[in-house]
Amino acid sequence: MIMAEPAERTESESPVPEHESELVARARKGDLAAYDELIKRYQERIYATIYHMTSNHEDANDLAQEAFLKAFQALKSFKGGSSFYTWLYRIAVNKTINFLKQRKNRQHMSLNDIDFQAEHDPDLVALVSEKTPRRDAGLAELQEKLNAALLKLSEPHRLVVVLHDVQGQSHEEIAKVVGCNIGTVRSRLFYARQQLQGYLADYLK
Amino acid sequence: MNENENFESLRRLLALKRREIPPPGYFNRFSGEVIARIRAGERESAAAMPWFLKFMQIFEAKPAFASSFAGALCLLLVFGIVYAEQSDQTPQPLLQTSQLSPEPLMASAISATSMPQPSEQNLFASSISNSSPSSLQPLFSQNSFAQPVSFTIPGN
Repeated sequence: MIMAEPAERTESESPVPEHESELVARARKGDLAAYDELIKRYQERIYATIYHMTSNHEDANDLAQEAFLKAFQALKSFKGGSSFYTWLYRIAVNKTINFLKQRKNRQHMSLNDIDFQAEHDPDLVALVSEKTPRRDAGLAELQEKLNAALLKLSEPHRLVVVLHDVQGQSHEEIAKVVGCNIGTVRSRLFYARQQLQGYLADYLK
Repeated sequence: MNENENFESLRRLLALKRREIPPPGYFNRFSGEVIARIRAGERESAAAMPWFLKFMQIFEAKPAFASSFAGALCLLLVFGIVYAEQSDQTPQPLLQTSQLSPEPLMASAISATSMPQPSEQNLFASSISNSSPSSLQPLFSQNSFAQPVSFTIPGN
């Protein structure tokens, strides 16, 4: 559906998006409106990373909220050495890894629904109808197998795969978030992909 | 063939993960829930905070107030020291008069102890016990009375 051309807007109706550093400075002084704006900017990426790490919507919701809460409380200690986004990401990732270590023996998947448009994605259609030996395998089954395979990886390896292959981050960005060098990121990514290929061999032939 | 080509099928499969979406309206509510939790936490911590921490928070918010408060404390300390030194010096005029003649000292000792018709020895004892150590020395140096004491030990 083609949307109608919006009417011309005045400056007051469409405010210029505030720079991240200005929002951070205001949030540090306790301005919750500024922090609300920061949350809205990063909530989807933070939630998605945690969700792909846990394969559980409820856990991802709790952890994402706690990460934003912790970030607000620790905002005074934020020196600005890295971007707020990287710093926030690090908090979220550390919280998630600590949580996963604690719940190691009780992994329970609570998967989100697949986007309706996925059925029309040519890559996914090809995977389901042509590459899959069991031709009746639907997207939902594939999703479950994929998440189960990811959960078999160790947390550091899963994190690198999620950030690179799912979130589309560069090796450099991942190295900053994880706190290791790029070589380590590359080697972890290679090992994790090898492992996943083994787990999902039936769906990749 | 590079590493990406080796894992191309896997990467296409992993792309399925990007299609997983939370329940409708989830992100519309998310920031509001976080802000509500922050507000609730602030209220709780404010209620549970001891009075002196609340007091210290005033200084965190206003450094100028903190420095002026510290300055006022320093002034108070200096004033206290000066006042204490002055009050230490006030007994001296009394000492000087007592050095001239023992009678005024005795008179003041009598009024201080409020003992009816005390003997001369009792007066001395009371004046010694009531005066400060610094005022004893000039007393003994000028008006030292020595009285022989004989003890009778039973059985000797």
